[in-house]
Amino acid sequence: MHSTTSSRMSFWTFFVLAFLSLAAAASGVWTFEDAQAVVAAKGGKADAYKFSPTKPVKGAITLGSRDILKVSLTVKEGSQAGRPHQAFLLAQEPESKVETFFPLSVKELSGKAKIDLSHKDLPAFLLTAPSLSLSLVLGSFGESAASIVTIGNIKPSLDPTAKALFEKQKQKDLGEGATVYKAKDEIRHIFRADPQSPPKIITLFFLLSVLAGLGGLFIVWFPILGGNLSHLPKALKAAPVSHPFFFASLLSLEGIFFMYYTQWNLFQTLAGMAVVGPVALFSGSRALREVRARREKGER
Amino acid sequence: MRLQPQLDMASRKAFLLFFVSLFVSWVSAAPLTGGRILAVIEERSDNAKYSQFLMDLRGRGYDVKLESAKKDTLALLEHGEKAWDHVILFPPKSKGYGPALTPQKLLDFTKLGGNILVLTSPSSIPEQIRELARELDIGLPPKDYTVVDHFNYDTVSKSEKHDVILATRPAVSSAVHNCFSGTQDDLIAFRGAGHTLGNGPLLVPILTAPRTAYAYDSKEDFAYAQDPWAAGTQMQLVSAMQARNNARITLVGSVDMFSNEFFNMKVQRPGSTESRKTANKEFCKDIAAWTFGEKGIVKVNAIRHYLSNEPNAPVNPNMYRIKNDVTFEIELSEYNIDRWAPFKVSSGDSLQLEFTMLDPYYRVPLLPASTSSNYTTYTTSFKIPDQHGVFAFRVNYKRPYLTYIDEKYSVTVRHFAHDEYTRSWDISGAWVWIAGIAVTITGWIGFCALWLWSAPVAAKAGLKKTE
Repeated sequence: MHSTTSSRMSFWTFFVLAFLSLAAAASGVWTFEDAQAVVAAKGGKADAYKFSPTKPVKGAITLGSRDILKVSLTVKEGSQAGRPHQAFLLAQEPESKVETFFPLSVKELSGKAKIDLSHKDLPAFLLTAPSLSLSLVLGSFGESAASIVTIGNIKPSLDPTAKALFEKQKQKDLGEGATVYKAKDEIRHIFRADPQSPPKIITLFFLLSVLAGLGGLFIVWFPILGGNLSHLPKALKAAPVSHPFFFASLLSLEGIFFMYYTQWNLFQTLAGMAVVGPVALFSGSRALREVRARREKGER
Repeated sequence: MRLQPQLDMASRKAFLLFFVSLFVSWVSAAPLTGGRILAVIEERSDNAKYSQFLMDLRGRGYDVKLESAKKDTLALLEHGEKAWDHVILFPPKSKGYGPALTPQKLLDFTKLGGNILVLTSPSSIPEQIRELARELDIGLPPKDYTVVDHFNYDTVSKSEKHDVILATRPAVSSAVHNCFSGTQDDLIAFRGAGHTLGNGPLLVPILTAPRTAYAYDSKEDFAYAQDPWAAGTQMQLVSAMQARNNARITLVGSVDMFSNEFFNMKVQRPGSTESRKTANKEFCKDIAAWTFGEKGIVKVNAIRHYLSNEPNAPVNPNMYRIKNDVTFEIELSEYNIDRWAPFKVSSGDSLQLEFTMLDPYYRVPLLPASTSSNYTTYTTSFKIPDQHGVFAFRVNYKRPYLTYIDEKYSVTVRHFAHDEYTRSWDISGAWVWIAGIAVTITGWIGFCALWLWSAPVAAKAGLKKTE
């Protein structure tokens, strides 16, 4: 907007033009040159990295715990050296975008600016990050456009004990234990394991062996030992009421137990017992008296 | 008159009806959390500077009273009750606000649920506000520290100071229901002071400074910012504290933001070619609406829990059994300026139900099941843990920008009753024992029959059958 050319070249216009072009030089873009970053180790050699607004430092600069990163550059407003109101070095953790700033000290006339950065300048949060991105912000009042330039990455290297210490500090800085209002982790109750039955085949084997025991018992009783029911007609003749009643009451007692097992409650069971019990008692005493009579007669 | 008593009655009725309807419309127009606003403004003439903002509030049904902080009868509380529902504090011309607005009184006011909108400017942050901010863990800069940004300033207002900075609304986040991230390319003009926030969960940023902004002492004539007070996105321009009782205190670093001048201003970013109108009017409306409880208010309409698998299960019983399948439902509404709307949980967030006895046994997400015109039903089902005791269904939904929900309903969880266990014949391992009993019974019956009726076979074996 300032460098318009005119065909009428009077002295006055020439003067105005000269003034405007000067102003344009002064009010260009805030930029820098002669920039370098030096990692000065204590008592050791210094590694220098050159960079410019268009060419950031390639690769990450490793910053040890005793190293100092010295960044120096010359600030230019357009093509002239100048001092901007804002000359900050920004250090950003790329993932969370958490950023801190370090004002550069700038000489007024020469525009020479420098900043020293070491571990103790960086907060624990950034120090424990794997890598930090460094940017340079230059801006000031007036017409010149401000600029923000990425100049490279640094990698703070920490020994394990220091790292643990800084991690602790970081947690403290972040408000360790302080509540954060957000969704919490999901929890699902883990149930106790259900009781397990053994494999069916084993169960069936033992089931069959139990049933076989009953079969064995009956085999021993009847064919081998000669068990029989030959006295039944005699018994029924001698005590025609009490024998069937006694045996029926024995069966119904077992029936009551079965009903209790499957569906009855205790009161129904007790009622059933109250009915069947006396029958069993009285018919049983008669029936057994008849059995004794047979024994006394020598029939048994 | 006496000749027409009928007509007189009719007109009287009409008159009454008119007033009743007027009253009804006035009542329904009153905002949700009460409409009495006290605006503390020193000079009546300043009223004109903020007339659009104040008119907007009046248009939404608020009864805005302008009072001077110096007025003797000014009081936030009356007989232990709030005399106002909301307070707007404009920066005073003099050093402080006077005895009616001490930090203690302001906090007492919020304890009763009153909302406060604090507007400050770099040159006027009274000591009362500093003390209040200290209590809230908000860091305020010293006097005259102004925020500037050489990247996002307004070029139209021709300010050499670059102090009318153009901020953008907070980014839309999937995790946070942010009431302030409206139209994303809105430009909000801001001229004032920044502040920093502590780590508390009750504090929320509303407008964050751009990355390249910084605060410096505008009265000291430093050639360059050697020691800025704060810079970058760690600095806030507008922030709020929502207390545990859902009372809100919003701190704005720029009173100019709310002025007619900024509402109507056309602004332009450096490097851009066209100038645009600021979105201050909408943003300030959002700030006021949120602070005074017209936005970000979430209400629980109903809570239901019942057995999942039974069609006629009673709703909200007092007792469940362990391992019951239970369904829990909650109906949530969100207030939006003038009506209740269905509340929608952000996609990256989760509304969670806890089933707790001392510790949560379950923390499961509640998912939207149905939506009506003014509420959403969130539901989940789970199996009650195998632990008896007194449990509670708890929905503890506390998120920034929203009123806190903490609902807790206790139920007893009992053990299996004796007739609710699996029957033994259904357990294959028990078959052997059941068979054992059956064998014993059969054997016993057989033995009884033999005892009663067996004849000796002495000739054959020489033994009595049953000895």
